[in-house]
Order: sequence, then C-alpha cells, then structure tokens
Amino acid sequence: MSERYLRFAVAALSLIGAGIAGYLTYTHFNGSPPVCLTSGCEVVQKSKWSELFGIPVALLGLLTYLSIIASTLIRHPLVKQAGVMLALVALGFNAYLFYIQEHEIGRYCTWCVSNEIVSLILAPVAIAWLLAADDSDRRPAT
Amino acid sequence: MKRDSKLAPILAIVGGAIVLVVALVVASQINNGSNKKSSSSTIATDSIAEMLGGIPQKGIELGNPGAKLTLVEFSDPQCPYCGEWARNTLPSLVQKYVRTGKLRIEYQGLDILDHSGATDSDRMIRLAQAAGLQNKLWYVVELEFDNQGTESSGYATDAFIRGIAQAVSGLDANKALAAANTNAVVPNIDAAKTLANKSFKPLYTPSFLLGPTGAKPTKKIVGAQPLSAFTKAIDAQLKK
Repeated sequence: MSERYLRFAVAALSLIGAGIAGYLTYTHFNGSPPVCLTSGCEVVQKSKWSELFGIPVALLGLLTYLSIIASTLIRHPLVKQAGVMLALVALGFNAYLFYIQEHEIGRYCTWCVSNEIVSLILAPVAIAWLLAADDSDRRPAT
Repeated sequence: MKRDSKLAPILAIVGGAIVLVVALVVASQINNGSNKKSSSSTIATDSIAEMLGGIPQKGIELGNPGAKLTLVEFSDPQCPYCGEWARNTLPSLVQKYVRTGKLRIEYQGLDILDHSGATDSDRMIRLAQAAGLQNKLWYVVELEFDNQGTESSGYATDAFIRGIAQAVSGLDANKALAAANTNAVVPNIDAAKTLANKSFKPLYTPSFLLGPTGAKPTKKIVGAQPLSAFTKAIDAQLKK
C-alpha cells in the first residue's frame, strides 16, 4: 500500500480515536454520564483510574490523537517518527487501561473499549506508514 | 546496510514508546495509590452535620418551606456522578441558598442502577425514606453518598445500611431500619419514579428540576454540572 494511503488511514483512525476521547472528555467536564450500552461507562469514567494527577485520561487520549493527526499533516521524517511513537504509546497505555477495567474496576466502558480497539488497529498501520517509502522523507543525495 | 538504517529509527521509536508507557503506568499507579480511600469502617459525620445542621428538614424536603425556589434532585445512591454532585456541589448550594432561606431542595431517590436482581439502591433509598419519617432523610442520603462504594459491587450490605442508620445523630436507627422494610416508604419511592419518568426522557442521574416553590418547574438540569450552572439558573430565577 502506498505511503499516501497509509498516512490517510493513520489520520482517519486517529480522528475516530479523537472523537471518542473528545466525547469522554466532554462528559468528564460536563458531569453527565456517557451514553452507554452498559452501565460500565459511568463506573469507569468516575473511577479513580480516570484521572492522572487531576488530568482526565480521556483528555490525554484526545491530545495524543490530535498530535498523531498533526504528524500526518506535517511532512517531516522526525515528526512522522514522533507520530508513530505516540500511536505505540496509545496502544501500550490503552492495553494497561483495559487491564484496569478487567482486574481493578471489574466493569467495561464501551467507549473506552472502542478506543482500545482503535489503538490496536492504529499501531500496526502507523508502523506500516513509517516503513512505507516516501519521497518526501528522503533528502536528495548531494 | 539500507535495512540497518531503517531498523535503527524503528528501534528508537519502539524503545521510546516503551519508556513512555512504563512512565505513564507508574504515574497512574502512584496517583491511585495516593488516592486510595481510607479502609476504615468508621462513618464520619462531621462534615455532613456541619452542612445540614440547623436547616429544617421535613420528609424529603430540606430548607425553608417558604423558600422562593425549589430544586428537585433525582439521584441514585449508587450513581458515581450523583455522589460527586452531592460531595462537591451540594454543600455550596446549601450554604449560599438553602441556609439563607432562598431555596428548598427535595430528594427523589431512584433505583435505576439496580440491575440483574440487585437491590443496593433500593435498600439505600428505603432507609433514606424511613429516615424521612423522622425528618432525618438528608443526613442518611448524604452519608450514603459520602460512603459510596463501587456501583453494582453489592456494597450496600446489611452492615453498611445499619452503619449509616446508626451514624445519624438523633435518628432512632432500629425504628428506621424496621420502617425501611415496610410499605410506609413505598408511596414516596413510587412518586419519585413517576415524576422522574414524566419529567426526563431519557432519564439520567443526577437530574434536577428548578422552579418557583409550589409552581411548575421551569428549568431542567441534567448531569452533575458544575456549581456555576446551578448558581446561574438559581440567580436568574431569584431575580424574577
């Protein structure tokens, strides 16, 4: 697959992730329970694990996805590498949050699980994007 | 050679990502270690007594019966958002508007979070309504929120319910516990469900109705919104 399509896929997946994280951030600050398929969203959103030193985890997720989107727009090899690294960080931290839901809270938030699935798909796509040949990444040989 | 030149940045990226994830996980563990609630079974009542002390209570009502405005609170004792509102927003509203006689608040307890045969919310609401028969409902409700456990974890055990009842100063705990299991508390519980379902579609907790006392409510507030959302709505109606 061409670099262009992979870049688009990374941006699209990150946009979905940003949408989910944005909604959870909104409900966090608004105080209203998220619309949810199960009652787990409310429990997870209000658990002690939903914040990191007072910062909502959903907000951190939103900023991460927006940064990845930015990395697909700024055509620079280092920015691209930073974007891929954030996608891997999102995967790792989401895996941890899934573990917390399973073992510490004992409930699942459908929005959070959706976000975890997005990060699971995003990480390999981002690596493929990193590996894909991209003329703009290469500086002409002198 | 070309393969090696591609491998190096990938290893750096993966290594950097691992370091960042480990840092985030460690931060999360430290953060939640410091957030752990005391495991003490002692029920502290000081802050609630301070908030509610000296304010008239009658049945489900808190505050001056002749107050200009009435705020109706629909909440489930297990709902974490309701607990957050009760702990963070209610004390300021009580201080600013209820204590000064401008606002009265009615409690309408709902058991919408009792799933699959669970009765935790129902048991807590029954105790609150039974305390209401002794005009001590608000102490019970706020103590239940202050000692709220994890939703659907079955935390409202017999010992928990008894502990709450016994912690309320001036409440005849045995009488309240006995009344909680009788039909005396049913009319108020059913009335809360009817009013909630009539007023909110879909129904979330917490939800609120605000309006002039004795008249039809004119404002709906859904969710544990920040204090400013309530003060803005109340101030606007007080000016009318």
